[in-house]
Amino acid sequence: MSSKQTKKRAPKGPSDGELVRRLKESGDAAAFEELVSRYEAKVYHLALRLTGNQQDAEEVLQDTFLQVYNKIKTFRGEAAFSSWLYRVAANFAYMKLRHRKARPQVSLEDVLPNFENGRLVDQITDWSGRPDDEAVRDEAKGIILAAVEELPPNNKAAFVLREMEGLANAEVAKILGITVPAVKSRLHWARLFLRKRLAEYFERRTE
Amino acid sequence: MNPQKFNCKYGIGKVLCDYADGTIDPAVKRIFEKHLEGCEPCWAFMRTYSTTIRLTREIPAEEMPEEMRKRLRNFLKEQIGSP
Repeated sequence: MSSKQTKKRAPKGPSDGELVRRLKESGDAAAFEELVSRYEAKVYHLALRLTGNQQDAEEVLQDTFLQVYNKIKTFRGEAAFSSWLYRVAANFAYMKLRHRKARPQVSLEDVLPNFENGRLVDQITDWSGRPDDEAVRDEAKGIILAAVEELPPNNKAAFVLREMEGLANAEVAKILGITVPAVKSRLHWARLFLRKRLAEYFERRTE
Repeated sequence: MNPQKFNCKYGIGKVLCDYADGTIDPAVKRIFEKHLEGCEPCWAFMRTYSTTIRLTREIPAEEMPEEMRKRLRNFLKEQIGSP
């Protein structure tokens, strides 16, 4: 499921497609249990990253697998089962996010540096070598996780699926029901936002 | 892409994402790298953008608590009698 791995390791035992077929045709409890075991940690991780807290993530996890069981007959197998499952989980996580108080929106201009006639005019410090120190690196990762919580839901979903779950742009597009260019645009914005938060952090450290 | 019209804003706004992912068109890559050679702020921006991606990808997945696995199964059992 993760493109971070150079080769996807096929799970031992029957394929997802075979398990889905058994579940669809006869409500096979063992097939469902195998699908739950295979994907629960991945769904939990996605839900945790999207909702930002364990309680909401657990509810998303439970709702997702209940929905999978109840709606498996509507799954037509055009996409991979994992993509469908991720879409279900992402939708439940979205619902949680929608009930929260909206944060003030940040525009693309706010995360880009300043340009004059197309030329970058800000002084950009190259702090790319600083996280070589392990303590700094850990702190920087904490800054990233906090910044992910600040992302608007659409950017957050694309970013989490692509960058933290390691899915390909095309798969993220399918899950979110958007185009690949839209995925890239949301991803780029999120990266720029996180980069900005890290730049502020490194600036504070040097003061 | 006309190399004469290539500037910092275009590079950072439109090219950097694909460049960092290695999915950039080779011709555009050459133009962007030529620009980076002569533009220190863009070079620093590209390096820090790439570091942001690298650090994010290094963040480990949080383990799912064992108790949560049990609660998931209890929940599903209550709702549907399975798994």
